[in-house]
Amino acid sequence: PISGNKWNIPHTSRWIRNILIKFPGVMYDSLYASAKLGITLESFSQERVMNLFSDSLYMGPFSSQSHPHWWNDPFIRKAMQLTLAHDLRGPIHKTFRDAIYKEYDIELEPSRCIYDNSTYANYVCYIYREPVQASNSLPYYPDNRPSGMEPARVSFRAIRESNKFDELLVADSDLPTVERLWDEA
Amino acid sequence: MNADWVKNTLRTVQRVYKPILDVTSTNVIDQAIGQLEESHESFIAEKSASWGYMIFHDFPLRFKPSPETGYEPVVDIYCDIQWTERQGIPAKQDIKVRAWCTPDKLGYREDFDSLEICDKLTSSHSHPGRVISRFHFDRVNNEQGRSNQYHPRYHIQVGGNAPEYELSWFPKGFDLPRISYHPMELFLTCQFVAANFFTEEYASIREKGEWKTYLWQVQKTMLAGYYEKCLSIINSKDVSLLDGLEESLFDEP
Repeated sequence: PISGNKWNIPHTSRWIRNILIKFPGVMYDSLYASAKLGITLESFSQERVMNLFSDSLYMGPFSSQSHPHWWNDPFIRKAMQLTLAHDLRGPIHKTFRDAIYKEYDIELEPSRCIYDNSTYANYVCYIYREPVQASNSLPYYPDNRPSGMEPARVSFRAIRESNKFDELLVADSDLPTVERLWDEA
Repeated sequence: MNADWVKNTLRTVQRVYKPILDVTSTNVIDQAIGQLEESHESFIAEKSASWGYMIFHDFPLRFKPSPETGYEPVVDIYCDIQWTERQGIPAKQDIKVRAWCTPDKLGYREDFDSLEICDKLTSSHSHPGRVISRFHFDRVNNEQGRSNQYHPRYHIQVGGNAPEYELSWFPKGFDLPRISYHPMELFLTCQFVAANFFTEEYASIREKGEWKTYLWQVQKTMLAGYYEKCLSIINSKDVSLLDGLEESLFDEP
């Protein structure tokens, strides 16, 4: 998006909309943000939680109140700040819920894996757009997102059940897992 | 080696080792950086005695399956690295390295392991199999007190207190010997893993300018003083190298 010393406005606009906002990594939408915290989308939407992350809310071009995004680094740091303040050691998707309870006396619902319903699922299934555990999903390559963005993941459930799943979009090394899941199904 | 520099080395690890890191590594390092920034701010404000980062055993920095050996081991790292000064060598280095193997490779041995182990390995896939190799890089922590055992200030130990889910075949609580090793932190540990488990990829990683820049600085900060100490012990002929690196003698001139 830069031509010489200047930002190329059309290219920059496309880059912001089609890369930064579209793919998780530099920014998160509500679904990814809630999964990173190990809580449900509904819990994340509570006012106290939203206010906590107001400083990391993206307010630049193409920002949307109906589809907000949060900057990754300050978002993670804010979550860390709260968990560390309550001396909770562990990854934030397992500690954030306890931190909120200690801070505000609010019970949040933990995110649940779409495959086995286990708690604190901190990734998102590309096909079902639901939380999923890393161990119940595979890396998936459905688009041309830059390598610096967070890779997509497909849940074992989608592999087994969804017609939208395309085995050509998983790595060769993961095909045995796909075949095993199909056999089990 | 100050906080900004440590943060940059974590970002470099994230970028340069990406070809051999599991996709979950991005989030692991993002959280480590978040902790680093937060704890450093707290340290500067004199609200805490140390700054640094932890990578947790249940959310480790995981590598892709290794092509070496034919067993496709999955190596991961978790650690607790803390500084008590604004810069310099970490005052706490506790870095665990684990190699996991799936049941169909080496994780389950029909002639030796019980059916219970087999059940546990096959009923859950929350972990990449069973830990078949486990060691950690450690620095003696004087606050914890020490037994009369040999304690080189910086050392490596095999085994240790493994969480139950590792199904580690090393006996718990038996963690001798302590083998003298130079100070370590995450950048050097990733190099260690890459050199041993990803020979081909390591050959191209070590040609990257960005990696070299940080490596030289990490080596200079972390290792130069240690090896100067080794050389001075050898030249002094007062004590053996093995004894001279023991915690109680390490600061002797």
